[in-house]
Amino acid sequence: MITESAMLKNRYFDSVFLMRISKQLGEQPGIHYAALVMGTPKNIEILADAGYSGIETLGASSNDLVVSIKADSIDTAQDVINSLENFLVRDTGKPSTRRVKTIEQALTQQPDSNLAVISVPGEFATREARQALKRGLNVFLFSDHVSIEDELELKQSASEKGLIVMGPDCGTSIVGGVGLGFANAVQSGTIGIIGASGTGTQEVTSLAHRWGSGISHAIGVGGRDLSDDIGGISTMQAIDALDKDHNTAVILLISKPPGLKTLALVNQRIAACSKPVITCFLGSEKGLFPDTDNITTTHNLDEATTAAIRLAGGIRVDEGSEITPESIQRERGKLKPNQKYVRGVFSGGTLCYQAQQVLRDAGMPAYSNEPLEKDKHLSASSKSTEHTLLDMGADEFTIGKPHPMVDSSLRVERILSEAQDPTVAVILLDCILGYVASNDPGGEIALAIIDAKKIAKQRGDELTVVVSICGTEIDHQGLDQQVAVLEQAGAIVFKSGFQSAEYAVQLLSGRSN
Amino acid sequence: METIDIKEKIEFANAEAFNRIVAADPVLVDIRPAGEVIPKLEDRMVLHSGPPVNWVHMSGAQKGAVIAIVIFEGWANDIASAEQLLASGGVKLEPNHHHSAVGPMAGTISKSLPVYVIENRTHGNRAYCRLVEDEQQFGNYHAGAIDGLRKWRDIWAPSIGHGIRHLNGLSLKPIIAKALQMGDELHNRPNAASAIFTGAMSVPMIESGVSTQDLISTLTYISSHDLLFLGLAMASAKSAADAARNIEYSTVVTAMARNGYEFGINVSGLNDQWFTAPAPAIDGLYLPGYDENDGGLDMGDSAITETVGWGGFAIGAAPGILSLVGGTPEEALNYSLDMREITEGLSPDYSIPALGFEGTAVGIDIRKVAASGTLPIIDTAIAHKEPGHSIIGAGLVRPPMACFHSALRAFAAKYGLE
Amino acid sequence: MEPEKEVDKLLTSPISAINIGVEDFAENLATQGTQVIHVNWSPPAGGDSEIIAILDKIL
Repeated sequence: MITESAMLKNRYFDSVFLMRISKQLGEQPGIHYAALVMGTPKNIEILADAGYSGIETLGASSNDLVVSIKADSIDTAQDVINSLENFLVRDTGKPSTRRVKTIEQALTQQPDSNLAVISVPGEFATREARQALKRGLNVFLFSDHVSIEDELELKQSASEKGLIVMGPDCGTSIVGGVGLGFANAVQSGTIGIIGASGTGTQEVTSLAHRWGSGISHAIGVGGRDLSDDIGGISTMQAIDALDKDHNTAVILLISKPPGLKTLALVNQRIAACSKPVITCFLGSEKGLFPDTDNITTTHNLDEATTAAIRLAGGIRVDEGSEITPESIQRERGKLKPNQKYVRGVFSGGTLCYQAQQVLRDAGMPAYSNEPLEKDKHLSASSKSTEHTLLDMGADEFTIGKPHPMVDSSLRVERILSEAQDPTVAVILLDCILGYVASNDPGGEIALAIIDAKKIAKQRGDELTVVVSICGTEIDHQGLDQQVAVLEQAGAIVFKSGFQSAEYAVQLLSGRSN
Repeated sequence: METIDIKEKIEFANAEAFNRIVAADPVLVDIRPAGEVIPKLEDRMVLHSGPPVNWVHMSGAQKGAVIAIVIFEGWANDIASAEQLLASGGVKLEPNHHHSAVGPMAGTISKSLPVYVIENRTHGNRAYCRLVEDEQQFGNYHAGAIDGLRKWRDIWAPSIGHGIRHLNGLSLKPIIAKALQMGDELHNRPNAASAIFTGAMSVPMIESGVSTQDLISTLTYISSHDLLFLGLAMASAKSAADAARNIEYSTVVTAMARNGYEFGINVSGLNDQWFTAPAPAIDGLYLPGYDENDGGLDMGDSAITETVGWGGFAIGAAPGILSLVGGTPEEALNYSLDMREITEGLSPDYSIPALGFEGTAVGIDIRKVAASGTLPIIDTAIAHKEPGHSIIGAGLVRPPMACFHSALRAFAAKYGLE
Repeated sequence: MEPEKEVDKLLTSPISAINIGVEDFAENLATQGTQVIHVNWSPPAGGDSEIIAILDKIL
């Protein structure tokens, strides 16, 4: 190792700055140590003590910069000394931008904010939502695991301030054409939606778009809003807002069946509404909720969307993807007698729920981790039995893992394990497009579909795979491309969750065995 | 109802603490041997920086500095016998903060070491700080380092003291305010303040009749000592922070201090209790010949400057030490802006030009620190981990969050929130 | 006529959002041309539930 030193006459630099440059020089290849100091007597002494030889002879004064390099070779040291100016004159590059850490700070930077989108872990979500409401912001609360007490407190306090809490566990809203959370790109129109479920809202907004209509707003209210614990606080606010909204002609309300007290309140409010209201309470027995004054009741999302389009004065465009007896006949012929069951592996909770309703109404009730009735609760989510329809977005699957709408790997695993079961006839899937969702949800499950069919084939079976795709041609994933990928994998594809479930039912219920 | 009540009480108490800190009017009234002015400083006692610590746990650098002080006072003649005396408990060790005092790095103060005497003319309290240098206070106990203390005791401190008394005191508030406009943050970078102070003292020292020989020595010392004013900034800060002590319900921090073993904080509404956690390592830059393997843990009472809104809190004012914070002016300003998240308000007197002359952030609130996860930023010097060395580097450090959490727990216990 | 509520204004004026949590949601809004500011959120008090409980009473 050698030591090489030099002096730059009359160049003053700050000592702290020089420490930084010393460090950078020391990190250059072939350099062991580098010292950069102003040539004060004391610094010269320190350097000499530290073994930087030859410093004293430079004749440096306090205003001179001294550089001393310990390196493998003289050449290496000289190279670094020659390039010293490049280190001393710094290119600052891009200016750093300040990151805000609280809602309060965000508001100082964006004082006209009118909405907080909150997706922090549930245990902290109430605190943040409270902060947002305190500062006059409406809240889109994606977070789940918010207690019912907290939900009530938040909604009451919001309502007092004329604000709305969309959520908790609110997957989807569309406000003034802007999709919040998981939402599909849809054209604007006159149907206003109030949705207690995310994928339910995605499904009806996509259907309405493709069937030639459009959406004014879709307001998510959270799955428990119409329970008697909450009393429909957000739903009532949403009805009020859509009733006043000039762009909205009809209101479509989607939820699981409300609590009885809340239902009475909601019906009363709807009776006074200036616009026609369509309800769709999924999971209920058909005919349980009769049409009343100003309310058109519907039983599934397709029916709901059709009614909304009609009441808004539109005509439903025929997509031509209905189930045909020929395709049923053809597919049925491939199944063996012992292939009896439907296994649903869903990413959308409401699509799973609606499929359960379709199967139940056809007399083939399914087990589920999120069942319609308690007696159909799977004893273990990891093990399917008979007809089983799984909501892979439920807690037991998503804790510590990405939601299946973002990452299909858990669903892929489950599809393959269902394919191992020789009693399975149909694997029923959904594929949800839209903002925030995976860039290629179809491609991710297409590979699993091919493999599942292979697994069945190896034991001499044919497995039917039915997929419902939820989305529009203006979603960034591309509806046609996604359909094509799935069909190439051998899936039967519908652009409606209801139709895909209906297909599975018709396939299995009309068999002679 | 009760919780609304306590929030109001806290807000009120914190506003009071903030007002007392920003209203402080520090005036340098004298420089005297510590034994003459610090009431409870006993004969064989050494005051040190940080929370209380015993000889066994004391960090290497602080041990070195205490040994140097023992030799300086003549309680022992050499390093070995000084160590022996200390190990046998022959010298009392107490924190500066228990004596209205502060000291840089190891912070050592003993009876014959002259200290700056600062009077806070608003609140009427006094605070003390020793000289700042780059040898003994870092743990260097060699003869040259102790010689520096002797010159301070025998020539420099008495000469400046003559000038101060002749002036009837020197108001430091204007100097501090000016210095912040001139690129100082008053902790690692008090150069402008040191120069202004030198200018302010020159004529009074002559007028007060200091001998030519002493005058030349003293002017040479103060005019070439960039860090001179740090001792005055620390004492000023201490006089301001002490004024905010013991306000019931206040969650404002009144001291942050480190001894190379533990980091400790005091909180206004929690009496003079220390909340400590192990001292953190410093993210720093090193002088030639040293690296992070040599560095001791965080040490010194100098974080009293941050406690009142200078130092790291004002780093956006000090472009000269940008290299400590990553190098761009934006980064430095962001540090200063971040501190607003955790403080009660902005200083009306001490402003940062680059922030449009908005005030520095003052009054660290333990609630806001815990809630935001943003810890105070402190820029500091680095001592060696072993005794016997001078300064080896400088860098940035933040207190352990545990200090703030344990203070909050104590607050909850004291005010019946459990 | 009752005064316009904040929720009504939300439906009639452009969204100006503050996003707290998953950054994808902020990016999504930005790609739709919506004004959004992302909060670099971290759990309060490092997630220490005892400290959070205290803070809830006094902050």
